[in-house]
Amino acid sequence: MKNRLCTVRGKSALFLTPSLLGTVILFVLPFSVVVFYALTDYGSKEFAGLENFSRLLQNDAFCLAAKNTGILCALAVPSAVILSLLLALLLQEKLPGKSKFRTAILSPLFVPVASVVMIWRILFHDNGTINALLTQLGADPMDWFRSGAARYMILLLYLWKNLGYHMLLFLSALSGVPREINEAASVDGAGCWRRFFKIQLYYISPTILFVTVISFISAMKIFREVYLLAGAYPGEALYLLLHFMNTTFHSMDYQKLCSAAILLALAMLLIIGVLYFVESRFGKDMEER
Amino acid sequence: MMKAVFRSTRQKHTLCLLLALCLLLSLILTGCGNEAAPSGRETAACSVAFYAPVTSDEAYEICAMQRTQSGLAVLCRVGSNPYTYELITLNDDLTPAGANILSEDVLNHPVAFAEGDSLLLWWQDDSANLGVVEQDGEVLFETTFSSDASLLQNSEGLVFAFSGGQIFTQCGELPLPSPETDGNVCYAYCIFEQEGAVYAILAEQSQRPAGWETVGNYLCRLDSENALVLGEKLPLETDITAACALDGTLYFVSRDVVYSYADGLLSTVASLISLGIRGDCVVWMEARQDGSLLLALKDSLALLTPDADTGTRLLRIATYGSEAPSMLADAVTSFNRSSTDFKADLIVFSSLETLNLSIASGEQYDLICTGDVSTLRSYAEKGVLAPLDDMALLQSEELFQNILDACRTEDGLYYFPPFPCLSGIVTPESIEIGSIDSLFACSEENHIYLYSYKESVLTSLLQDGISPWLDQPDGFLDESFLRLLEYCNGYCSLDNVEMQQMIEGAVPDWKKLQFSSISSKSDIYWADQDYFPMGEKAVWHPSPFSPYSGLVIQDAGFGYVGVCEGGSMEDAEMFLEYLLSEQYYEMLGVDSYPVSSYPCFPLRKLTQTFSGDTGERLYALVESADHLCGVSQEVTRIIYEETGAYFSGDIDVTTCAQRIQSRVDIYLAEQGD
Repeated sequence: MKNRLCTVRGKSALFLTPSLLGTVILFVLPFSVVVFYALTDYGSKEFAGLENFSRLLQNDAFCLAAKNTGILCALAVPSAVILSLLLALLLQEKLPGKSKFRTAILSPLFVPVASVVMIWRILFHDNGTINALLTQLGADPMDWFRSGAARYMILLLYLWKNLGYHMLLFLSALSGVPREINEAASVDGAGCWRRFFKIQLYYISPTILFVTVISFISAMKIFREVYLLAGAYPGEALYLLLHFMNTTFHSMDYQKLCSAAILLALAMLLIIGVLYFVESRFGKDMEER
Repeated sequence: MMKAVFRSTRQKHTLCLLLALCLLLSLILTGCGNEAAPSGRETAACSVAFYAPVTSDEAYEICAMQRTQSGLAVLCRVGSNPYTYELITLNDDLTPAGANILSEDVLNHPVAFAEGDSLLLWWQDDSANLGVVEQDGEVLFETTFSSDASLLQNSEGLVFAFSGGQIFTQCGELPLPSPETDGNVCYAYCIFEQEGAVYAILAEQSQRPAGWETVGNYLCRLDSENALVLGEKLPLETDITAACALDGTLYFVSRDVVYSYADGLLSTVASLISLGIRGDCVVWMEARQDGSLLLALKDSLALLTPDADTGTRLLRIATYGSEAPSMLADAVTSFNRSSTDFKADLIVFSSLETLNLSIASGEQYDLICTGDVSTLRSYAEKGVLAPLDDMALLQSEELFQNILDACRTEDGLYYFPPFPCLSGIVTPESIEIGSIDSLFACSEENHIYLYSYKESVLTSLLQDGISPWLDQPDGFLDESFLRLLEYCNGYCSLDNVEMQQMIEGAVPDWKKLQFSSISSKSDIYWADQDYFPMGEKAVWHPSPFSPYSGLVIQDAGFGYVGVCEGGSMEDAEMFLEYLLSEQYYEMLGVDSYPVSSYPCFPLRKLTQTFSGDTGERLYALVESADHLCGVSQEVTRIIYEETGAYFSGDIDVTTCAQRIQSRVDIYLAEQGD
């Protein structure tokens, strides 16, 4: 026994044990419990197969939440990527007040959510600043919390909060593009957009993938701001997947909650997998160049 | 590198062992911390003995108690004449030693006393003025407050009269210290003396939307200049109703729990409910050298003795809310007083979420009691509650089986209201059921005088239940709900005549009728008399706001009760049997069958109160109710949130109803499969 422990393999196993134990107890076991709840009946705890999933997919609230979350992601992710990239490109140029502008873009990262929510409520209330401006301009005031415009209000909040961080990532990636290639292309007569699409885009494609993935994850997780703005049961346009999961957690409906969590995880894995596949194909082309 | 860091194999093995032990310890601590601790209190082992300060079987009520130079003395209202006040001295064993009648005057009577060079009394006169007088009649000072009075005199002869959050002395009102936060105020909650020094517990209160709320309690002491100095902050933010001190340890009562506080540590001494005592009944308390606590209650003296576990079986009842419903707390207290084999412990969680977490973490309870029937419905679906179909107690024909059937789900009976009431919600067509109808006439008069805010009116009306609208598709778009919102909105701007016209305009056939209920046997004879001016046959008109037809069953404030799966069914049945017993009904004074929101009627038919034709028709009326009218807190919250914009005039009633319906649809979709 002593000899076995003293070998390299034995020592390695011993030192890995705490980490492994932690991973098993804090990650693998909870995940197993989630799968267990998703596959069992909530009365008798007997194996129920895919019945919970089938019931979940027929639940109108879940379908509404999934639709709203999908729409929000479809709006938020491209907007976040494109706008943050444009901001990064803008900040690469020699502009006066560039550092102050960068600070202004980054500062929403440090503002507490509750403060942001309060400001948004003042801005977008039925009698708030935006509606007052619209009224003065002769337009009808909008119901920002209950109509379809609610999505754009949340999109604006999401972009305002997250653009700074994504912009930082792109700035870092753009600074890694070899200057010589850009200069050579410029000498050869390539314009700025051609240089961007033919050179810079390829070099920053891993960062684009990364920003897309984290934007996607952040968009799927939007909940806190909407909950503080509109409560546990907001209007139809604002009811998101995490609202559904929050209320099922509070009502102890663990089967529904775990089934929803697994479906959400699978959807995210699928989408992120597709993104990685696209990037690997696109990136392979870049390497061959 | 490893060889450089660790010089020997032994060191390496020791390090690995330490790492493994650290991990194990963290896992254990994590496991312990995961238990959702209830916001209620654990029952500390304590026994109680009750004493009566009077020798005879006369009814009495304790108003005040003090330790005097000659021992303990109690000021009581005694006897069949409720205006007879006696000062009773007690022996060491708390039995009465002697009594002096102080007053038999209905308009002038003592409310508190203290002993100085002579006996001091605090009298309330016919003008509701309080005057501190010596027994020979000399008035020391007067105040105008008249609630929660207590009196104290220190060794220097300074008299402290505490009432209504203020402290008065011969020199005038004692200024209370300023609170630490601007906008907050300080109120005195109790005063007591220890070793010649006078102390007071001050509560710092802050104004919240729901009203004034205690945000801190301070132990203050009277200094040498007879001024109260803000002292140590106590680690409790609930109202303290009684306090005393002994040998540097402070004892106080807050929300049905006795605490001790010493050296910065707060401990629970006893849960009063589990001993059959309500915290708000404690008039005075004293800590004794032998470790026991003497409490003067309104109806007896209680001596609490901390001791080892006496082996009584404990019934755990869980509920949630800012505090336990009064009816439930009274029932538990009463059960604990009457039972020697069982003690019921009431555990109050601050919110439904914390109760859910506690149940999900494996905490076992015997009974769950909530006012929201949808909570118990969801517990039943999740297997938290045990079926009650086989409980012999509930199969008795002496109970109104229609009420139990209304609570039955597809899978069986899992909960029921021990104290239901009926709400008369009927279509505009009237119900004529004979002369006895006049006894069930309802009126809206009580709404007119009690409420001054639109939201309050809305709260009052929603308490009748929302399931008439919740159970129907697009129910909140129904005309009746729109009329309800308009009624609330127009309430404050109308006088009585305008309101009457508005109500009559909403439902032309609806008329105001005299409110009446069968409150005692003698009222039965009212039905035989031509008491109501409506003629020989009175008609019963409904509240105009609901589309439902028929009587609706509601809970009257006790809550719906369910027995937990895995809990002690036998013990739970004992408690339920007590709730449904004639003995408890007599104690409550429940012997009526009103058809209004309050008060309640018993689930068990009271055959000895009503008989013959009257009883049969009465039971027929109650048995005609077959629908449970629940209140959903979540939907009620949605209604409150959306009506704010309507009441402030930003949107019209239809838009308000549409918003409510839209959000409620999401809620209902979530609940469905």
